[in-house]
Amino acid sequence: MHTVTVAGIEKSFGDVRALRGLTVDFPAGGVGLLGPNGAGKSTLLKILLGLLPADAGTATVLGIDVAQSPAEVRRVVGYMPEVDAYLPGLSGAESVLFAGVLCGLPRREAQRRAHEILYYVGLGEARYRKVDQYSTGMRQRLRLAQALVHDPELIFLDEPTNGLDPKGRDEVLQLISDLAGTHGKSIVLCSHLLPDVEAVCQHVVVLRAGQVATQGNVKEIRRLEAGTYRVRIDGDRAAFLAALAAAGATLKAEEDETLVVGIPETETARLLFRAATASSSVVRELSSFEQSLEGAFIRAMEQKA
Amino acid sequence: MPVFEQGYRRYVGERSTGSRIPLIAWENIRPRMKWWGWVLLFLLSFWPYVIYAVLIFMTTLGTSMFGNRAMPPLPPPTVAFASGDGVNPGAVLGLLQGNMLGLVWELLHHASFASVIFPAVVAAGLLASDRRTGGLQIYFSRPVTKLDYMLGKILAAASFVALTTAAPCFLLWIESVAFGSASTFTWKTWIAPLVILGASSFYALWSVALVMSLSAVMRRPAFVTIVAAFVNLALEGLGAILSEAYRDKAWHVLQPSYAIGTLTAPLCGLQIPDWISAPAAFGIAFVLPVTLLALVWWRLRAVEVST
Repeated sequence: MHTVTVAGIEKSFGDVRALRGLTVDFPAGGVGLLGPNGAGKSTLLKILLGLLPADAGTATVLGIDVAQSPAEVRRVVGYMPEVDAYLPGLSGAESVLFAGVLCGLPRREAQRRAHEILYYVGLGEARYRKVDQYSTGMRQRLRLAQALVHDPELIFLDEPTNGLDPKGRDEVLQLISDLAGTHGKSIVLCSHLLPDVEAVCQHVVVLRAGQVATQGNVKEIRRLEAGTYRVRIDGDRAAFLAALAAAGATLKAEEDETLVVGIPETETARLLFRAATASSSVVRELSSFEQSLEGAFIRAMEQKA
Repeated sequence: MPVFEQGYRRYVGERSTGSRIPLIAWENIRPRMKWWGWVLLFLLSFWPYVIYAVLIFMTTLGTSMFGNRAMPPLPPPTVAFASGDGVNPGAVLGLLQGNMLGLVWELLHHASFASVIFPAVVAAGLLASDRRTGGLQIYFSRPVTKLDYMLGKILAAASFVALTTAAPCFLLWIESVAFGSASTFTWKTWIAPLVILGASSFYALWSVALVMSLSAVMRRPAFVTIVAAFVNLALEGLGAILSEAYRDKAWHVLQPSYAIGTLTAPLCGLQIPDWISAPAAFGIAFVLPVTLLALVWWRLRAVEVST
């Protein structure tokens, strides 16, 4: 089942085409939305929330047509914005309570849930303090609490770990994983931090210039990167590359002095050392390229460029 | 200790689809009522009512308690602006006895400046703060339409205006009914609450439009307060100066208090004096604030898109 279905969405701001006939489906569970600045991630989120009208195409969220019932969509999804968003003068508990009643919860229930959710996100002790006095990390958690208070089925999280220290980041990621894993929430995580996406999501969609550059299951994408290494040598570079080619390896990219090399499935990293010996070179640095989504991300960007 | 020491609980109860306007209005009034400075401002803006209330007390209970020492009432005026800008006790007493609705008009006319200053101080941040702190996203990422948001904010601002206009007028009417010697007074003035609401709406329109339009383009509430007070003062001063300089009272129409007073006079059973232009007053007291609110609406869309 798909939580979000987007078909042929177009959106332009003047001469700038933010989304170019974007067609994509988000499966239930954790979905990472990746892409460089200007890729169209935020525009897509705003269209899915009904804040921006699309120039063409259709979008449904949890089966609801966004263009026809934007308020209904916002009633059943939670949204955690990237930038600071709070109402000055209110305490943490009042802020979350207000977010709850705006989503249609009865006031008494919203009040009860506000306290529970603030404990859940780790702001229980600070819930009576004015949000104006909260630190950046606390406001980040408050935004998450506001997105959760009405118990949405689908949660859009826009850079949820921005401005958090490492411990806070781990805690928030743990929370999001708990929501997706234990409580069965569907999450759309919009982030520049690939490890965040890896920690939470099973599926990624990479946008570039308003189109899908690549998408798929995180494990599958990582598997595509298996057998790829970063290697730096001292010695004759051309001879080393020739030795690699003779052994069946392929040069995938060059990053300054570092080479990104793919080796056949039947081979191991020993092939690189054999090529170095054959070309009278010395391997100075060697690391696996498959440790994160970064490789797939970069490759998708390069392929579409 | 895990961060989620309190477990997450599902919610399966009802969800309201009713209007969000009262919610938004109340949630914008409530935090501002915690600020005690507004009480002082409120008392300062209530002075016309205090004077009127004392005069009414003196003509009712006061005359019997302290002897017949109250000043004689003047014949109640039938034309707006006939009593001048100052509080004329004789005219107030005359109006009380002969024309309750005229008294409402006089009180609103004298409270007109406070009706701008008070909301300008208290409600300056209604839009400015939301824009500064990203509060717009809190509203618009929930089932709140732009119309809900706008009307909620207008209702909140109008409530602050009402504290300086409708509230003292209602108090005055209730006081007059309570202490009035004539048993038929209530019957004769039954329409007063409606007139008070109608006339106060014109004052609210001007004040809300001025404060909200400035709040929609500025990010600092303090600037909104200063500029709103300055604009109102400047228009009041300009009208007064030009009418003196040209010895032509028609220039008074530039003063918001005169323009609004011209529109509310017929509601209160008073004639519009022939020296003031009703169309010009309509332009300043109605068309201008409606235009300002339209600009707020347009601006709100621009802000909404940029967030």
